[in-house]
Amino acid sequence: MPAKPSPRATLASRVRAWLPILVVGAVLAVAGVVAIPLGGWDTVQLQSAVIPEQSVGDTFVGNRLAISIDDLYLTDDFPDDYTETKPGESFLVVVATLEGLTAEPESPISIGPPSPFTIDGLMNLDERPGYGDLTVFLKRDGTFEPVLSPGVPDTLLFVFTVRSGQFAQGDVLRIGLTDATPEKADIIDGTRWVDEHVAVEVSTTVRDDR
Amino acid sequence: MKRGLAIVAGLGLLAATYAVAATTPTSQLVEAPFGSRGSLGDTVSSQHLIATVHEASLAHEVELGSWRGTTAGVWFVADATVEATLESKLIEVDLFIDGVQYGGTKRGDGGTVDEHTVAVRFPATGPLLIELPADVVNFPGARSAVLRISPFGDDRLDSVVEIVIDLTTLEVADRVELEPARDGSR
Repeated sequence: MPAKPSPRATLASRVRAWLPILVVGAVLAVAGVVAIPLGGWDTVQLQSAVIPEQSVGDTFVGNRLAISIDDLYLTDDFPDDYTETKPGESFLVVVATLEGLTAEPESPISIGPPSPFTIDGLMNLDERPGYGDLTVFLKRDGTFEPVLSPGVPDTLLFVFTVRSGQFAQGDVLRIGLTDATPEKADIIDGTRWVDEHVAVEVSTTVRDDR
Repeated sequence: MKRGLAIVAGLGLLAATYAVAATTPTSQLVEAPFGSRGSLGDTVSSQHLIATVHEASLAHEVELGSWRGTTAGVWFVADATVEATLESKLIEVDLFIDGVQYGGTKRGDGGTVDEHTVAVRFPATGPLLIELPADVVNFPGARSAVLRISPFGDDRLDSVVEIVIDLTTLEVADRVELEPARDGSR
């Protein structure tokens, strides 16, 4: 018959069992006390929330598109050569090279997937430009609202109608390149996109081409 | 003995579950259209369309009417005659290579057959243009690409024309001049 453990031995084994939790608790308590004179944890920027940056012309490869921002300029000449600016309006043109990476043709701006990029005040993940506020052209031949064949990169002009004076030469805009995760859609035939987010940012300086 | 039998049976059922999960047809397969298949030069009929793809080639640049089509890839160029069987149809063309869908271009100023409505007994003849990656002939599926000609829209469980084409045997031109699609046969 084994010997009955002494009360002292039982206490030690219980402490050993709880040791990891006690250590974690102690670390948290110390971290909390240390953080108070530093302004608290609210002032700490999580590294996971930092959006990486890339340069103009560099390509970001997402799940739906590979995209690079090539240029950003103000103009009064619409790419179709006959649409004229209205008084008080101008056009801000984002020149970007895109390549479809999925197994089907991709429209750069369509209802389901996220917009390929965001610009504060013009196009966000949850706020698309209104009808007439954004027009997309293929740079090489001016095709309106082009569709990208998989694996065939091409340069597009995203033409935003903006107020005169809303942007000026030298303004630095942060363009967010977006990404999302594809899932098989339940109701429609095709893909639905979830976890839409800005994956990379590009700081781009506005040129005045007027 | 009983425990051993239970373990073996359990593992067997688990394996069977994986086998069923792995072999269950995808909705893409279950809902695939019914393709009437043929080759270049064949006249192929589906429920809605009668189509003949007379010839095909690849080109780096095309001229179609006043439109000059350049590309970072390469153009699949075909000459086809299509008519409807039951009622007028707007048609759609897609080329499938290794399960990837490449759609007919809409850049050709309305000069391609798939931008026309085809009518019963009134065929339309002219070019089909599809933009493909520059190195497409090196793709594993390039020898068995499938050109699908179907009524415009959702073709799941529908009847379509499919032409099987070996892209590696096609002539590659620097530039081709094409006539816009017209009414009538070739």
